[in-house]
Amino acid sequence: MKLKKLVLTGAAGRLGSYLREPLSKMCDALVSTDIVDDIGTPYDGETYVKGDLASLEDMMRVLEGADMVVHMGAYADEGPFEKLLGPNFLGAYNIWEAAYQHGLKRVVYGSSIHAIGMHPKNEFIDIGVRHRPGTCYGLIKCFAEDLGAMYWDKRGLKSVHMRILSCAQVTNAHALSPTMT
Amino acid sequence: MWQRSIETPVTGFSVVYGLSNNDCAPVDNAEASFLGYRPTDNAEQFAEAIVAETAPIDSQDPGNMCHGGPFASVELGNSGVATMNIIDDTKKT
Repeated sequence: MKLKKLVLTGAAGRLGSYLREPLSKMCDALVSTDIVDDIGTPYDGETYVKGDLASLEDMMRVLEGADMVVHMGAYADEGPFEKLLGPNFLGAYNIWEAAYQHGLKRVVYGSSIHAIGMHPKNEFIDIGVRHRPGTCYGLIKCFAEDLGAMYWDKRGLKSVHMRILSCAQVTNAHALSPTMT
Repeated sequence: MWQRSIETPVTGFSVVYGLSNNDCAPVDNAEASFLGYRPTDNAEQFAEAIVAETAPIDSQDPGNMCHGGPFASVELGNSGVATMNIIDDTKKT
């Protein structure tokens, strides 16, 4: 079933830039959002709306009338907690709260391996393994996963949390395998 | 994976690991099987070339030992990405 309106956050980011085109084909209207002024020529059915993840008001405006949101927007690296607080931490809360208030069907979230990053690679882990972040970045991914669980348990808002390992050209041994030692 | 996460009819609260069908996959997606995410690419094709140009790896370093890679060894608050040689191949439109 084709969605009417889908929202993509982090549309100006590296992964977001590759998601815009395929997502635009999965819905009648793709609303791409990010903090920058411009993301280039839109694809068919795509519109760009500038917005700040740290502003609930902005996210309420962007998510209005949407069926789902693909939430990829964040500061995409470890950094001081204060730097991550707005886009990553408040951003996640604002997306879930706006999605709930507007009655969205689902949040599809770009979580990260860093939510469980301190588990050793030679222990084969399943998706139920305990949170074990190694950075403030990962810690906030844990928060967002718990946020998604709470909004499902208490408010029936569905979410899929994609713990992305590496999504880049293979340029280092870490991207290859756990057993290279 | 994004497509399956959007299109799968049943979800609730779900978690899935996002990786290719790598020979050395260190995580188990069995419990997320219902999503129908079945990747086909395999990073092993790059292994020989990458290993050839990589210095011997210290397996005592959490940055090599742990799932988080460089993020597992970096000081809190410092960049993890800076050491990872990630190519900025952002697609322009």
